[in-house]
Amino acid sequence: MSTATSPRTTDAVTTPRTTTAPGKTPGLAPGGVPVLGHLPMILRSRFEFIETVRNAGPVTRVKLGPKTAYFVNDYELLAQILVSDADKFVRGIHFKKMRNMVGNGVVTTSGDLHRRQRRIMLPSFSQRRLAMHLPVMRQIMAEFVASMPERQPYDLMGPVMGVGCDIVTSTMLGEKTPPEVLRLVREAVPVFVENAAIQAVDVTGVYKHLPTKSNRDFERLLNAFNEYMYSVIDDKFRNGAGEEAGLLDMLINATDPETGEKFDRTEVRDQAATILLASTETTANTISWACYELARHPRIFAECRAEIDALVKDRDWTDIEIGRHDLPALKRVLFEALRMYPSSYLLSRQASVDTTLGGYAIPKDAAILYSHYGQQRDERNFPHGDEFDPDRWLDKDGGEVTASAFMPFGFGAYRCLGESVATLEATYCLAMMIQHWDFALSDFSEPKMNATITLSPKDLKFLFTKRAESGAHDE
Amino acid sequence: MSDLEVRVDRDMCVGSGQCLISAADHFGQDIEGYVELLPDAPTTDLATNEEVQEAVEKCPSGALSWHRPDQI
Repeated sequence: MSTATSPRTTDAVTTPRTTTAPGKTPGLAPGGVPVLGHLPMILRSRFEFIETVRNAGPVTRVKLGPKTAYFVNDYELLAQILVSDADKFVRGIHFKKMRNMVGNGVVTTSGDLHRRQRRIMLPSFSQRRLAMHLPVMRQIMAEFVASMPERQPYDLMGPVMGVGCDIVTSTMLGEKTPPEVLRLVREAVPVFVENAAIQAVDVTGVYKHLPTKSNRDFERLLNAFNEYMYSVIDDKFRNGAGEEAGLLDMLINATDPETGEKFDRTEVRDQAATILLASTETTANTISWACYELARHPRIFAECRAEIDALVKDRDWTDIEIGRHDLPALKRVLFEALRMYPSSYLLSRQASVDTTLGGYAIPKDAAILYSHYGQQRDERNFPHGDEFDPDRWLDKDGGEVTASAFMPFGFGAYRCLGESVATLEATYCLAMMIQHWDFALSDFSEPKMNATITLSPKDLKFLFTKRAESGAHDE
Repeated sequence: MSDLEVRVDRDMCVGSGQCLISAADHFGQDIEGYVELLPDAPTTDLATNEEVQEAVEKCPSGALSWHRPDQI
């Protein structure tokens, strides 16, 4: 593997490659400095970095200190990396960093192992199974929405992550899960997420050995989480998995097709931890960003509310099902929030062989970077891309939208398993909130995009007020 | 006029499972994680079945496609 290159980083230079792949060398992206390359820009602002390299060609080189990475800006080449040539591009370093918490779950594995793990997990995520879990999910969300505080600056992220934790815990472990376990998970997950975020930027790898409070909390909660999970898993191994066949039961019963072996207890725990880590901050981001835009766009809010009122009438939320064709305006709001604020905003792969991409040579072991955020804000794909405009989705084949460039849940073999769950959760949660509360942004907040593991809102606080009664009900 | 059918091309499948998520009565995954048409799946009126439409539309690899049985 050739990582030693000369420190000349002027734009016009094409550094001699030692790869045997045919194809031309991609140009160097602008914005780099001598020696450190693009690192200063990345550390200053990931979004500035993504937007700067976006116009440097379909494939462009970036320098991370002495290391070269290849940034892919073309969604058709991305389809090649993620689908047709997926076997040549394995998971990148982003994912390796998560292993200390999630081990070898579907987010961190590649290739044959990944496909077999995914095959076992998938049936639990089908629309059919989702329909079974809907009543529990609806109940948890309805209780949350009813308990939101009124007229005080309120950050949605923590509470909505708590809702996500409760949903995963209840559907994985069953409705009779003791409340102290729900509390443990709700306390543990934000700490895991924060710790993963710190480790992700710690290029030295030293952080996790330091006796900081964050590390101590992480250790304590990870131990408590593992202790509880293993007690449940070991009990099921001994006494047989339940008939209800929730996700945990399916993992325990699953058999490897070639060896006939089952997942061991560690592997079962890993998948459970993976789901918790992957689903909570991500969904909370989307709901928060959608609320942010709804607070800023009263006409769109009113349109969504009118739709919801027409669907709900005077029924209780425990009786409501949002059908495939219901609430189209709200669904467009969700699409637009996913387009502008995709939780997974910067991802990576690693070339497993010498190969070519769009005529460019990609050497074996090269790091590939790509950004759904960059793609989905690109004017060429989405005119006035920095504007929140849900109506652009009225015509998916029209000029305002490039459907093939819209990949907030990824694409191909590693595409998010939980897309249907996340979409369901966000749709119901937003519908309940819009029906119940008026939205405003708190004066005490200056929201910004924060680039950690996911694209989270920073300093986003709302003021929710109970919806005003309009007097006698009309017929 | 014969019903439209879904052609399943296992060689193109990448194992994403989108079809299973959308239409679990029609599509499953074989032991390697690639698409298979379920043996008990309904075979009539597929073109108007919204779940199957979604499965074909969302397939990332093109392994699923519509065709007439008399087409090659």
